[in-house]
Amino acid sequence: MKYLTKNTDRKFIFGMIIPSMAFIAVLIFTPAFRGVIMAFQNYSMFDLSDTSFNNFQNFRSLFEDEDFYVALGNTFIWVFVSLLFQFILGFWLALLLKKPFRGRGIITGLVFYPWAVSGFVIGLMWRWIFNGSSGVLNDILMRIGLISSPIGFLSDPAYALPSAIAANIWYGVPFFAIMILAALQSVPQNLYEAAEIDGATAVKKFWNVTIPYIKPTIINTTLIRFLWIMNFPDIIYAMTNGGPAGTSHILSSLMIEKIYQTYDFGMGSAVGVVIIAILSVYTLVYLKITGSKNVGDF
Amino acid sequence: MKKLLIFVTCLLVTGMIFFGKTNLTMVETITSPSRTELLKTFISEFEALHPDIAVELISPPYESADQKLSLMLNTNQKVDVLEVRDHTIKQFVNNKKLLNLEEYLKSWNEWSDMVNLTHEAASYVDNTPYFIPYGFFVKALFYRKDMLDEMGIEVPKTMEELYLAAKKFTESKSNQYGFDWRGPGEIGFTDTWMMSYVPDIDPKYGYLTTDGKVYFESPEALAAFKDWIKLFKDACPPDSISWGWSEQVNGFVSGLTPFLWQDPDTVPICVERLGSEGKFAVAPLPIGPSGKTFQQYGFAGWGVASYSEHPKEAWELVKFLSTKDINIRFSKSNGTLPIGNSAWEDEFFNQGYYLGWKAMFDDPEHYVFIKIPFDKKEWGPYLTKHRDDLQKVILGRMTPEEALNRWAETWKNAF
Amino acid sequence: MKRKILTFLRFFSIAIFVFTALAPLYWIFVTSVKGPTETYSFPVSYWPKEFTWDNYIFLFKSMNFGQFLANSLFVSLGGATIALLLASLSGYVISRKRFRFKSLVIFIMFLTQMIPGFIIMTPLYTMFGSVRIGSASLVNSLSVLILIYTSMMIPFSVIMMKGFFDRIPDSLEEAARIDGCSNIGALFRVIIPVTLPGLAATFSFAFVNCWNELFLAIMFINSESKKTIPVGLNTFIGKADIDWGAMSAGSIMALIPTIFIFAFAQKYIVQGLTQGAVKE
Repeated sequence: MKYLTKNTDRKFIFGMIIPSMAFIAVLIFTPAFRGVIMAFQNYSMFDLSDTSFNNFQNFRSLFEDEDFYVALGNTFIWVFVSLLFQFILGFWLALLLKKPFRGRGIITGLVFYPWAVSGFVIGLMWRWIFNGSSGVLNDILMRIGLISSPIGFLSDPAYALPSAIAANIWYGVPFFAIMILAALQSVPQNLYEAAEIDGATAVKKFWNVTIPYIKPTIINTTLIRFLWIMNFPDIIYAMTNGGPAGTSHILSSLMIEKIYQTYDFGMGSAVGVVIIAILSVYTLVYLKITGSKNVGDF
Repeated sequence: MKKLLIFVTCLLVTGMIFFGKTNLTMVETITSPSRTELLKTFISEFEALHPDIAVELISPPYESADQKLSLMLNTNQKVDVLEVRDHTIKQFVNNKKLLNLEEYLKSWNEWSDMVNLTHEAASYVDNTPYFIPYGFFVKALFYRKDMLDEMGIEVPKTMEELYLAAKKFTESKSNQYGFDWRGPGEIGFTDTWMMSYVPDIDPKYGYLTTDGKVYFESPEALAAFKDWIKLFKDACPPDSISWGWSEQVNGFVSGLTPFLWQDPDTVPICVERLGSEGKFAVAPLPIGPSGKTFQQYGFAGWGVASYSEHPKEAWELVKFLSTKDINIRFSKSNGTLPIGNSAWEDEFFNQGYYLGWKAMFDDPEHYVFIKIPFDKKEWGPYLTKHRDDLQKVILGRMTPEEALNRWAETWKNAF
Repeated sequence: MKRKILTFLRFFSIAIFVFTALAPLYWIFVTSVKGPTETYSFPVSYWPKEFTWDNYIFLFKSMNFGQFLANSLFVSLGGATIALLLASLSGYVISRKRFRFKSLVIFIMFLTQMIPGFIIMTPLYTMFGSVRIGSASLVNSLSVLILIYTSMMIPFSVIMMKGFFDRIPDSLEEAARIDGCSNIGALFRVIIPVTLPGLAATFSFAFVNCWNELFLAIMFINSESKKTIPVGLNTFIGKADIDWGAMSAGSIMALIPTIFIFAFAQKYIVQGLTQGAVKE
């Protein structure tokens, strides 16, 4: 950072940041603030005649509800397992695609497309593929003789959440592949050359050159995906709707259920507030642990 | 004469320019591409009859439509005519979004031609006619005629026969089952099943017995519930516990489960996929051990927004949509049961699939219509609770007694 | 020999990735060219017995799908472009300048990503619904949808653009300054052209997100003529059935523009950060 802040610079900085901040302030934070307030109100669409503040009643009934704790536990499984596999597979894919080969462009386009499918279509598509009686996956598994009777992927509590996670991994691998591939391309060749002179093996080069260089990308992509995956109910909502018996709910799908099925916006917002709280704490801790000072360094 | 004509025309034209056309906004919520198409036809016929009124139809996708309508109403967006459903009517009334149609009904002759159920449904909330139903969702037993004939199985007439027939079909090794879970509205099956075991259900309140107790507390309800679990374990695809309606209908159409417990609006879908060559038919619901079957009915119809700036024109549209001719055409295509006596005289509803429903309507001794508490605030949360509890019972995570207790608790304080 | 095994393993892995990505797409396509009876028949068939384009014809003849495509293009291009423009301004400043609330600004960008969409939706609708122009409110407008999409896409675009600017050597900018460029002049004449690949990458992410946005589009759009693709696809989910044929055909149609954009952008994404690879 070579330029000191001068007066003209200050105006310039201000002018460049204000438009973005104004958009966010008006169209995200204002409604979000109103939504957070709702979490403390008796706000049910069923009867809006009394929307007074209800002394944390929404949170109290939420914390008394055992399904909430199931959803809370599932949320962490959902986020960490999805994230782990999306990251590892995405990294692997990026490494595979790093060196040019014939047809790389087409192949890259093809493996990236799942990211372009909309969330609810993915959910519905996998719900259909995973169907326990007439689903195509069971059909294939039975044809190859891996199983003798169909598996209830979405109806067996042991399989429901893992199935949704599998669909989510399928969807999320391309994001990491794209971001990491881009970062890999930016590692200066002379660093590798220097390492080679020192007689480093491929594995050593990977750990000592590649990883440190793309570390900011890794830290930031995993952070932002953590936030996104936690707030991504589309797949679970369409695939299992939290079932059977609430065993595959995550917080954000529970939130949809409160809003869509019981019209209780107060309760729904309360779940939302819990999500925001968890994510804020997570982000701060994560940044502390990874020692990342430069948030946003991709 | 000619002068008069010119004068009238001039008057009309000035009038039109002066007042302009009245614009009505109508919102439908049980949407499907084919139904939207049909409604548009009706609307253009209406506009032809009333050249001074223009109607805009809003058709949000089904899954989010009620939510959207609710948001529109609560923020007083321009809505004149709206679709009112059994589970949304109380909410709309609570928030004072529906116009009381009493005055308008007085001058409408056709109102007296309606079947009793229509009058009852219209005044479901606060004994006030807040909307005009366009049709009813009444469960019946769909069965695959071809499959039953092949197996030589008679159409079940009692709940026990249904169990036996479904069990006969079931051969899990070859992925063949008899019956299935009724999707997100499983309550529409378990309630009917369980109530039909209890002799003294109060038709006025559905969930109560005549001595004012919640029916889940009666010993018959427990026996019924255990039989229901047996039915599920012995004759339903285990996977169906997580099915939605689309999977349920697919299961029926593909022959996976030859019996289907569904609403009449499923008929057009089955006809489309199975053809109308008699591969399937519809029978009255089987009768329970108490000798009766307690029929619940769902309904939907058209209402006028309380804050509409054109209530008269809006009423004209509602009235138009509820006339015999339109309602018959609507019912034939949409599948819902029509609202008028004279509609029921139409040949279409006296043959084929509709005989199943006709038979139930004509037999009040065995088929008793009960009121389901759609209008209680407990209803919405109860639906999710009920579904989750049922699933827990099937998965062995809750005993039937516990589940019944939980449901009884919910309704004890509600009435 | 070892090398050969490695090469084989590499291409074998790539093949598995391609297969896993494509298998569901294949299934959607096969479903889209089956007739209604075959779609629901069991056991499933992996190639249609009777091949038909009926579902596609239905989309464009009865469903107005062409209009939906045009609307989606409009809002996605609009939202992504405005967001990208504003985000590159902010991202540039955050990357290059030192100022007091910098880390706060960055944290705010992350904070927006923590807020669940459903908590925002109702208040946002109420906000726009209560602004009246005559008797009509601000809902049911594609332009309003663009504004909302823009605000949703800004934070991530800012974060990404900052990353791209970070990798451009300061020396490049100094040179421009010596030539007498102003702040903005340096940005537009020197920095932006070098960042083009980064812009392409950010744009494609923002575009895809707008393209697939469903819930806000359902709430905010009333008229048939203003519906977007995801809303159109969602109408195939009815009360008691899902029209898989039309839904699959629609999904394939919806994928074409996004795949096109990805194929176009992937070149830049791969190149993206090589530009100015020397980080100072």
